[in-house]
Amino acid sequence: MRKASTLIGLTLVALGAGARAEDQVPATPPPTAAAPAAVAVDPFPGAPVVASVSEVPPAPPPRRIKVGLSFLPMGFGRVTTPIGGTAVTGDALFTYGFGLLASFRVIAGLELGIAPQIVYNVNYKTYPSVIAAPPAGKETDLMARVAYTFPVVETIGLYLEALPGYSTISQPGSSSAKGFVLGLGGGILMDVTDRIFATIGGGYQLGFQSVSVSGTSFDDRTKYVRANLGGGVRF
Amino acid sequence: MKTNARCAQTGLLTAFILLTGSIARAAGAGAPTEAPPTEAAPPPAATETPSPPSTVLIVPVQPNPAVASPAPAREATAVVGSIPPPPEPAVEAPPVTEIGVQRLPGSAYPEPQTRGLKYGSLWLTFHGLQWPYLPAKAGRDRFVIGLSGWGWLDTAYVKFAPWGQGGAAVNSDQVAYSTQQGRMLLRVTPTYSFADWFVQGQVELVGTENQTIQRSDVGGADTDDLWLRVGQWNKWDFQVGRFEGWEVFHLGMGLDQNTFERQGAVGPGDNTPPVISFYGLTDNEFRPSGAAGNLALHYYPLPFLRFEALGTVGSEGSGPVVATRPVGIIDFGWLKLKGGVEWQRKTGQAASDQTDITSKGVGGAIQFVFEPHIEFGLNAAQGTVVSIDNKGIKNAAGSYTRTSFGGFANVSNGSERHPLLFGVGGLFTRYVDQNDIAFPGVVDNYWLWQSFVAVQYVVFQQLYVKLVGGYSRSHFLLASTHPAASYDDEEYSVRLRFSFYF
Repeated sequence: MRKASTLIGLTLVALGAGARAEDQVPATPPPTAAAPAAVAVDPFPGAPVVASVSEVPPAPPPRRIKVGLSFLPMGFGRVTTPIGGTAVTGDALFTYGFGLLASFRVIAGLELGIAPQIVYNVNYKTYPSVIAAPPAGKETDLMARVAYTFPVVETIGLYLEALPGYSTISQPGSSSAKGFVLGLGGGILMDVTDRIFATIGGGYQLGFQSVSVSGTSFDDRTKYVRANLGGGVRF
Repeated sequence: MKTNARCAQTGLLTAFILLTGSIARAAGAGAPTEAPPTEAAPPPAATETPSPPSTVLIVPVQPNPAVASPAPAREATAVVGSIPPPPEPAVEAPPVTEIGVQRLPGSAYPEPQTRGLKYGSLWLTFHGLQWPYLPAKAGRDRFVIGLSGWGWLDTAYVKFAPWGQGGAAVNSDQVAYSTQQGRMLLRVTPTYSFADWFVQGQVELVGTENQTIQRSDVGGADTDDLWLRVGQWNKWDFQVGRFEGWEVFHLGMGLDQNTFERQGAVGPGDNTPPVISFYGLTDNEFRPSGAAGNLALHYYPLPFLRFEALGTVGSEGSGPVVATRPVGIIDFGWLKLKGGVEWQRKTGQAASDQTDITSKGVGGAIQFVFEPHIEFGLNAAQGTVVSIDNKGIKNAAGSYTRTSFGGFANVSNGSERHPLLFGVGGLFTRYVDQNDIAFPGVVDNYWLWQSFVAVQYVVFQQLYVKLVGGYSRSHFLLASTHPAASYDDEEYSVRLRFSFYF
């Protein structure tokens, strides 16, 4: 019993000492996250108010034009080409590409623009034929871009985008495949400064290209899970 | 019943007396928890660390000369660099006037130059500084038990996709894993400071989420740091125990330790000797395993110049190990240069065991920080391993040259309220051994590419939430057959990490 009471006593001591010590440490205000909004305090209550938050100059109008550059690594993918008179599909090699972006803000959050891109190293991981594999090809996608950005908090937004366009896949020594392409995706948009922004996103890109061999049309298409690392400037 | 009541009364009385005493003592101490500004006062950024204000539990010290502190006399430090004389007799030694249990505040991590973008990967690196920094205050001896730590929880998915002529390896590598793993450690740092001298110890007690791993497994250690050091603040110190050497390679916001993307596209079938992994002056950087430990001398000649001369001694695995790893850091804040060399030798334990493995390496890094929005860096290192087996015969497959180079970049919105960072990075590694057993001049040749994309948001400036997507590819050219067989492996991974630093 005595031990128990001693323990209770020591526990109280510890709690009391801790509480007392904390009392002596003026709690530093938490980081600016909890800082109150800026308010102009009137040092002369009776005098007319000469400054207030409402007199802060109005924010400049939103910048409507956006120009950017993207790096497009695509790790997952499928390639279909005609081999021996049959369209054969296989896993795609890792491809990488670059994209441009130019868009115009129509209304708050909604943008219309273009996003052409070029993708290299278009080929099978393992060529599905005993004959020698052709060299890797290059895909050029001329895409339009429709995007909507949902602002989450200041400087951060989430966007969704649709990228319809026309695509060409060219391989050395063979005819180019052409056709419709559609990309869908989304990501995070971060304002680095008032003008500069950065994005990280992902999506899926589906091609409907085909090629004509001896008058017969064959599928010659690609499908990729796309990643998008980008940045740009607003005007 | 009466006895019980008396005991309770005694307990409450004891509590009341001690409580009153502790309050009086704490009040008399005069709010000792806030370090006064010193010449080496941390820049404003140091006070902006995510740690909340320090909380100090003052333990009352009864001024009893008979049990005076064994602390050396303060006068011992009157001459810089002098060796302190033996402690004075106990009855004359000044008592330790302040004892505290303290959650280490931001001021314990001063940064004479910026460490990196706030909340970013460089910012979470200590760049060779003497941390935790707990100097004596206002000329008074000080003993503080610092408490800090961190924990992380990863939920991850990884898929391997091999192809090529690897046969069994390709078949074995057709796997996918889904895991959740985590570690949390409590860091206890007792520190005795007087004048500008200090004696400091540190132990990191680790809890692991995965209860099936062994202590010797990656991430399975139940103790990370365990060291003692003595020295003068901002001048020099000597450290001994289990700890990490200074970082040279910086990998950015991905490739964290104990993760799939750190391992890269090296599946269960890729058990080539040696198993390829990145080399960044890393033979002796991480904490030694087994009955081995480090000794290090740290020297700070200028605020922007730091040196570490690290040595390793003991036994790792099957035999003795001895190593050295001197590293230097030039840190101007916006520009950081890091470089070093290392040498390690492992030998056999038994007299008849002729095992002799010698590894050497050199590496460096350059890092740029442009606050508050962007930081990036480049790394490069190369090393060799020469291996003699237990019979005294050269192990050609175990003798190789490894080369790694890569870089990273982080971008931040610079927001205090809603800090968001993007990070990217990549790293290429090549191993070329001397195993031309099947055809002269054709040796094993492996390479490994590791890359990632990361997004991190810090909730309430405390809880780090990071999503990392990784891609890795490896290529194996096996010279044990003629013609040499080759195959490739790919790894896709995604990982969500929650971490909390306290």
